[in-house]
Amino acid sequence: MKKLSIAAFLLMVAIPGVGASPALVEHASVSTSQLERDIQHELLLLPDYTVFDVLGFELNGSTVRLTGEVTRSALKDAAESAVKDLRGVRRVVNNIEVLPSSAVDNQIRLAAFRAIYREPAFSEYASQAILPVHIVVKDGCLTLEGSVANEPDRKTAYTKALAVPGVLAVSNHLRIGS
Amino acid sequence: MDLPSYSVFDYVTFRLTDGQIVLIGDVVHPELKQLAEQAVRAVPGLTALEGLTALENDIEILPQSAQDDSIRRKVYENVYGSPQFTWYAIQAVAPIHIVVKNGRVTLEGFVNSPSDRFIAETAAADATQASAVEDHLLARGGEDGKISELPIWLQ
Repeated sequence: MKKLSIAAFLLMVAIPGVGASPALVEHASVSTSQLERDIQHELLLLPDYTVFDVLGFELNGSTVRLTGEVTRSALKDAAESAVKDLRGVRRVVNNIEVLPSSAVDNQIRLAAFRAIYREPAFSEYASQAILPVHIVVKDGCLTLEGSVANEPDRKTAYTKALAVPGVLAVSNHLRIGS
Repeated sequence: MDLPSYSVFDYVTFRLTDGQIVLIGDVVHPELKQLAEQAVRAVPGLTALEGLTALENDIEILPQSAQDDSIRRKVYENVYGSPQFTWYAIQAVAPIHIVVKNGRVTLEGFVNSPSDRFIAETAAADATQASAVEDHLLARGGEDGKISELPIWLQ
């Protein structure tokens, strides 16, 4: 059975902003780990953040460097807006790449989504509250990001992606476990 | 450490009542009830919150039922498998939760419009073959312009 890491679950159930809210932690500084959780939380819950986008960040002191690839420029801007006012953040470097608009890539995205998430062995992944496998497509090249429970599932996702018509290459960045 | 999945078949949120945080919702896996409480208790600054007197855990553990499991899968397929709902299916965080208890389906979460609410409710009703469907979905922005109780996972 597929599992959700404790970190992912805590990310979902933590009350966002409470740890970072000046009103609630008026006299406390924000720890690095708390700030990382706050940033993760803000990014994950961006409206219209899909499995065809991937967002990440690096935290260096009070500077956040946003990374990843997104299908719409609005999401890049939204990610920066979401983290820049967090308590503990002084500077945001937005290195998120906006993927080129491409009808062919869009077809690949949808076909890969269906191939992977409608695979019977992936039914439990598909019903998770946070979808664990992201599908990034750029100029026909597909990259799998995220995590799966085990090596067979990792291979299955790769095989399904590789079989999608129009895909030129597949990079499998899926991690095992959380 | 691995824990049972928090899935679209669970729903956890909270309400604030007279200085109490009350965790509410329904979960398929019993462990999720305690996990949710632990997660909230671990929120920095929460215990020092002025006026907060208690944390109560009223999350319900759903009864084990093969029939309910079957309904969950059918409703899931009908809602998220609908071509009209592809946008919802590809969201990184699933916006619609499907809670099933003794054949009764409750839809929780968000959709983009009142018409999508109707589509989701109809899709769920079709899957359950006239079993009861309770629609708690909120249209973003709210049909009356208000959202009274935001789901914990979308705030």
